[in-house]
Amino acid sequence: MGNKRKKYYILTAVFTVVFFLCMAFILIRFTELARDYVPRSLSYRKESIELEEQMYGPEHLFYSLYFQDNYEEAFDSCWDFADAYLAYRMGRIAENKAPYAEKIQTYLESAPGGMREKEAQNYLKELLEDNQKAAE
Amino acid sequence: MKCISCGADFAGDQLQCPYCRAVNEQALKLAKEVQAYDAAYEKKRGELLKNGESQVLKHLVVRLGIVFLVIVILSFACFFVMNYRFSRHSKYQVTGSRLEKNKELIGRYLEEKDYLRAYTLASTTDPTQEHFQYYPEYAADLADIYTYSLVLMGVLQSMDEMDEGDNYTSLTDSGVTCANIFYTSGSSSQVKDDLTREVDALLKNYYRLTDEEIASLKALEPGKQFTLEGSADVERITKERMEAYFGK
Repeated sequence: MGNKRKKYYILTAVFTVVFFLCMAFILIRFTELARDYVPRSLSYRKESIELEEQMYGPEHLFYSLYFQDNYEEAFDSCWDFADAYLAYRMGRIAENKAPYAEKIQTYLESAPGGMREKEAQNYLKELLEDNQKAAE
Repeated sequence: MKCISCGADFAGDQLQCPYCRAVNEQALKLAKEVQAYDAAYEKKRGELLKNGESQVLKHLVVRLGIVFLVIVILSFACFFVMNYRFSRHSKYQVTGSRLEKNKELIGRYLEEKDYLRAYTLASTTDPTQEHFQYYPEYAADLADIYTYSLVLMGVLQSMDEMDEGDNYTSLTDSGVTCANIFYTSGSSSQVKDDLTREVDALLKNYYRLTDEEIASLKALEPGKQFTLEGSADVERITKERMEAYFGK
């Protein structure tokens, strides 16, 4: 085989190997990027928060919203409930529970119904009972 | 043709006269010339084939190289675009109209007193995270919300532990530090005032600090030890107070 032909065959082989190495590298990086992005995608977080609410109850919404960076408009109703939940938790330790009960009452006026409304009603009932006991 | 030896007629391409076997010089010369021509032709043909093959290989290698290079460059370009759009610490969310929209939302959340949501939006979209370099007008408020959230989460976690009957956490040194950083941040705004009331309420209602103790925490200088009832064991004292108050 002539030297020139040999040189060209070697070059072809080198180009092919380098090409496949580059494509493999890009594929790995793409896969890593996708794997990193999927749990941060809006649809994944929405499904995840709904699942957590079904498994652990609406009271878990507050932590899910804050720790999973769920700030988008899609989570508006979750944030509304989280405000009511926080008012309940703060109301439990406060001496004057009336302002916190008012916040929960405000939430209930436009509550969507279902588990969240029921839970908020329980919060309000508990705070009002505690307020009454404290007054007595 | 006629034989020069015997004069007989025979075909011009024969090398010998068929009658007297005299050599046909003309035909022999022609045959030698044809042989030489054939040899030169074969040699040239061989060289041309070799060169042609080299040329084809050369073109193949160059074009293959160009195709591979274009594909690799396009793939890298796609990857960089996707990385810019989707990577965790990308500047995508803080460029152009997206930055303006985010600022508008943060402003709105702060006005509506949705402080944690404003902080979540800012820290998620800003690649500098807690430094808030892309939201400088809100940086002080967002930093206050962050330290407030640390105090709040400490209280909520402790309340959860208390509800579950676990050994719950009282006011630790890190809780004191967070509260002190919050109080001494130096900022002043409606947000800071609202959050100060919240932190005061947490320290008073949950950790059972008195108004004077909260005031001394606010006035505490950096590096100084916070004490309760003359003791530096703040965790133990607040635990006793919490047990006495909550009965748990």
